[in-house]
Amino acid sequence: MKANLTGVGWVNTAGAGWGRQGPFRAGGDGPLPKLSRKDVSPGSFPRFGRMDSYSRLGVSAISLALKDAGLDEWTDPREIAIIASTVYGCLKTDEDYCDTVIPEGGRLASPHLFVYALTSTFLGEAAIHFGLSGPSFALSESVLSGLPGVSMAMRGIGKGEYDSALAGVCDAGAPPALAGIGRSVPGALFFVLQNENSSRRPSYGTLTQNGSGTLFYDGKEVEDLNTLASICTASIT
Amino acid sequence: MESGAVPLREVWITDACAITAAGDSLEATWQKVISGTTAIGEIDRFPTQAYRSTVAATIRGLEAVGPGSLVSTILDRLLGQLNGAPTDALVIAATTKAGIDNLEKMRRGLAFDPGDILPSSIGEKVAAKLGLRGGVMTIGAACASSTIAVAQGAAMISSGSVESVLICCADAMTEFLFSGFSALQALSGVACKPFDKDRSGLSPGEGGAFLLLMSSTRARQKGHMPLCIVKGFGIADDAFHVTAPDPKGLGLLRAASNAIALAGIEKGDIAGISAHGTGTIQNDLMELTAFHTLFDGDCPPLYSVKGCIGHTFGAAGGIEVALGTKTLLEQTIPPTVGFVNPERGAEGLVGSKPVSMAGDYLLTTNSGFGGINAAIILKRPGSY
Repeated sequence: MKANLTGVGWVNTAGAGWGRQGPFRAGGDGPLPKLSRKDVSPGSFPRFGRMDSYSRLGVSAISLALKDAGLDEWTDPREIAIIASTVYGCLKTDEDYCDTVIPEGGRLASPHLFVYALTSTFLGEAAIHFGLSGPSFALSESVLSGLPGVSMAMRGIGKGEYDSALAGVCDAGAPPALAGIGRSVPGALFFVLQNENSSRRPSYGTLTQNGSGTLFYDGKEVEDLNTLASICTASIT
Repeated sequence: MESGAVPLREVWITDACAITAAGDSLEATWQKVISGTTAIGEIDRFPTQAYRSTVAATIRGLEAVGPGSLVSTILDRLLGQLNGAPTDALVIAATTKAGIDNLEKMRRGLAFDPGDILPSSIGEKVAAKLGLRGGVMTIGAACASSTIAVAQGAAMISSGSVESVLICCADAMTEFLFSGFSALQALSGVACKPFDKDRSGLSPGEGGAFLLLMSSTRARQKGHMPLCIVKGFGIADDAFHVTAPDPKGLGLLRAASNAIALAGIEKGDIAGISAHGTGTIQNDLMELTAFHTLFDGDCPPLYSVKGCIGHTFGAAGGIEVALGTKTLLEQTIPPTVGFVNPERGAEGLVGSKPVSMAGDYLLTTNSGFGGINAAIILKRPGSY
């Protein structure tokens, strides 16, 4: 399996950015930058302010990755897949929603919060705003990696199920009571992977996958997605 | 085929089980579905005075063990019926909300097991309980979660990445989900009526399924026979609305078309459709539109099992594939429980009684929030 890496976008505690803007810097634990509609889209995006923080995080990183790959503007829907890995997903939103259900025996249950009580809702938001009509789903992990999701995207491209895919990670952090269950660093990081014929911009490099599923970037084994982002954006000045 | 190209490998379903409100096994669930009666009834799990409905399809006697979640009990019951799985099997789990009842307990200050709450816990528990070492994935894609799990499992086997995959899906009927759909005004006040012109919403359900997928090569080596063959799959997003389907059904149309193309068959080979059929006004209309477009006026009979077992959310697709193996084996299109007066476009396609089926291929589809659609083509096995 083989795919070109043509875009990378991220939001983490070190800031928000995209590959051709400057080198990736990994984040750590701590507060994420406050995101506004303007970080995501130059045009109208009325739903952005209504989203929960997990969805805003994911949609923002997807937006930056698409911008980096020259795919942020569109007229007709594109068959681009999205595979997002997460540990805690929307659990903070779940907590907020629960707190609208409990006090009055359900009378105050918030339909607005409930819509965002799925790990995959933000993928639908991204699909609508950016015209992405390929497969989309979330992969839940106990320790955040994202590599299996990238492998699945590579397989889909390799088998011709779609020409392009966004694959990466999105986590807004753990609810306090679950901090010891699972492991992730808050932030979102997405890559745009494309087959040879689909790229609008020059590729950063080539991802390949061997028979046992191990990923290689320009021939070197990929250890984790942060390292991949660092390597592919290192030459950007 | 290109010179040197490797043909896709055949994917067999060699074992399947479903646990629903209609029965504690695939056979019991099938018999209830075929009987044309519903398992949807009054809820006694939590107070319902504040909600738009008082009915759902709950599994009789389902109780959490200690601080565990209901989903853990469903998984235990499911895995008790598994006749072994290869130790190198990859586990692909699917759920929308895993042990969300334990998050509810946490917010209410009750004892709970935090290990049940993360969605990833489903697949990890299955792998640990069975001693499987082929890896674990947990897929979340709203009500298409387990359909996509089947598609991804089949894709990985057919491409040669793995030899066997254990699909395991489960969701429980919790106040979290019930209150949410009530707040969205999506609940039917009575047992749901898929494809009926008087339908008014969905009825929540609960349950789980496992499906053991193997390459035909591995299955033959192990002496397994196929219950069914996964011939094709397709996944597509509407890119239209977060909670409402595209009225034209374009996403479902593309998912189903891709599945048929991958299966290498003609549309006319499809002898039946296991539809999502939630009983909401928008979903059922969208499906009828998509299927009529896809089959160009020659749509095969279609059915929904949700009038019997309720909407089992992330587990729906897996349960419906398991029941689809029975549809093909028994050559019987099940009745759509609750269906009386056809919605326009459902006349002559949906029925309230079981009817004979004549053919080898079943299309089974699901759609969910976020505009996601997934389709699977199942084939009745021939002689092996």
